[in-house]
Amino acid sequence: MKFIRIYIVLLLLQFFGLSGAHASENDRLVDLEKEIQLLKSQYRQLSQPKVGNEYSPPKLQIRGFGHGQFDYNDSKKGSESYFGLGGVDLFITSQVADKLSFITELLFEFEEDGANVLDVERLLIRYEPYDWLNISLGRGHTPLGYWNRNYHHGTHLQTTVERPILLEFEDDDGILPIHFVGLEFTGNIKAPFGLLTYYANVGNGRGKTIREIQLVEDANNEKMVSFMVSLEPKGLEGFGFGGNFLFDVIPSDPAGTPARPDEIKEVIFGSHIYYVDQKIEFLSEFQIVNHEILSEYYHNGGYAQFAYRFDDVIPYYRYDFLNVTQGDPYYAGLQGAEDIQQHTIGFRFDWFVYSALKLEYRHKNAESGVSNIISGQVSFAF
Amino acid sequence: MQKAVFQILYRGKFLLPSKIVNQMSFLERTTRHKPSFSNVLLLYAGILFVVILLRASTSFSEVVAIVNQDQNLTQISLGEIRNIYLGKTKNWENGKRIVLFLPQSKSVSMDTLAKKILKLKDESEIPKLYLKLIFRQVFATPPMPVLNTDDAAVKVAASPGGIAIVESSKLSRTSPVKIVKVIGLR
Repeated sequence: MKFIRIYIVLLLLQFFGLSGAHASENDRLVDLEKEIQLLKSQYRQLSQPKVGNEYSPPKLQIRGFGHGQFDYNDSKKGSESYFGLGGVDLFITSQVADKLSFITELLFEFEEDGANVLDVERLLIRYEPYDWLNISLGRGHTPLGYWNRNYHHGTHLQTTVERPILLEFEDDDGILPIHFVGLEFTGNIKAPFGLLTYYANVGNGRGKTIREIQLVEDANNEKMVSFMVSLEPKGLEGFGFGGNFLFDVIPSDPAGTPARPDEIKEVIFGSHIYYVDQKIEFLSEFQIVNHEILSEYYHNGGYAQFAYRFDDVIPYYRYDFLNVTQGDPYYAGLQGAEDIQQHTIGFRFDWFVYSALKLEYRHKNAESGVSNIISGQVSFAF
Repeated sequence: MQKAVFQILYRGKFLLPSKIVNQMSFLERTTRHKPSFSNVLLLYAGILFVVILLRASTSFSEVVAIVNQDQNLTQISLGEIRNIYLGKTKNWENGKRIVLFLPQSKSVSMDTLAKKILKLKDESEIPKLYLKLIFRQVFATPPMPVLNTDDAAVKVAASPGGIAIVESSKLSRTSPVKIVKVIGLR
């Protein structure tokens, strides 16, 4: 009997002891759960994306490109070699609001006389309400084929050292209106047969001379209108083709040298085809320029470029051509406005993620003479 | 002979008590025997098979997309998700702006995004790709990276147009996001 009592007492003690421990364990779990919830909410607040929050400041990004190169040029005038700096290309982007973004590309260039020049190459504010409609205002690159829309002033992103001859910038004696100032409409349209991308511009158009970009005014009331459309067919990832059209009235230049009392009607139309994947890069474009003044002048040019990636090394070849009808008053005195054929062969070595070494040889057969050029370039993004 | 009888009785499931006794004695005798080489080989092959199965079951994990719960989406094609990560599609059908998140570096999700979705050599090409796309004004800022799957889920949950690529096995069951199967992704 005595043992039974002791046993009952022990049982009771055990019961109350255990239940007490159980209660304290429950409290601890509740506390831990509260703590986890608190930490979770703090984590959510800290990791909350800022895009789309109208009260947070816009997300600003500053990036840049640069390059330095060495050229050796052997022509009938003799041979010359020189180092050159490609300038500092700063591009600043900002997500101003959920569907509003801004980009500017500022180029610090070095002139042949040693002067430093600051060019605002691009400055665009873009509103993107739908995939099929984006509206941009500012200065950008005219939709004239694949290259001009995809490669700008940072040479690091292009495979080759130099741009195609046809697409040289205005201040490098190029014959095309590479830049526009005005309004641009772009968009992607998903069609049953593929992805259709369009670009439509209305801008100030060309100035009185090729180098004059009409940034804040227009010398005549006629606006430059351009349109480009590209199709990437379904099932052919990386392949695309398209065409472009541009119409402009170039203002007269009665005080110019030579004097040009009449306006010029300019019509440009062209086509492009490309295939770009991880290994292969094939680009080809063709543009025809028509200038109508007292008589008509037709000019055309194009290129075909092929590159193949072997891991970090990309050998490439490009064929360039330019046919310019002599006598066009708008191209008077322009060094690059002549018949040219050029073969370029070279390779690019991506030695770092954001830097590349390029070495290329160009054989240029122009009306002004034959030249052989070797260029070595170090390009980088920062 | 005894073995044959045992097999017949055992498979026939009509073992009698006396026969069970015989079976036991047979088992006792067989276990005392030194195992043959083929038996050992079979045993190890069996263990190896089980180990491979276990490893396969732990390493196999489906890569999926996760989107905000506001999105009315259950599956997406490989082409569609590629267009999203290339900036060719920037808005959801409900008009919400798509907010991209990049998976954690050196993860299965990142590898899948680079190689299978974007068809790049490896994930080292992704920064270069977004540098190009920003320069072309396709994006104003690069996609935001996440620390891990939980971080991806939290960020997507907090962002109405958010999308991220994650491994389904690492996703918590209580994550407040919608899992979207990527059709064509193996």
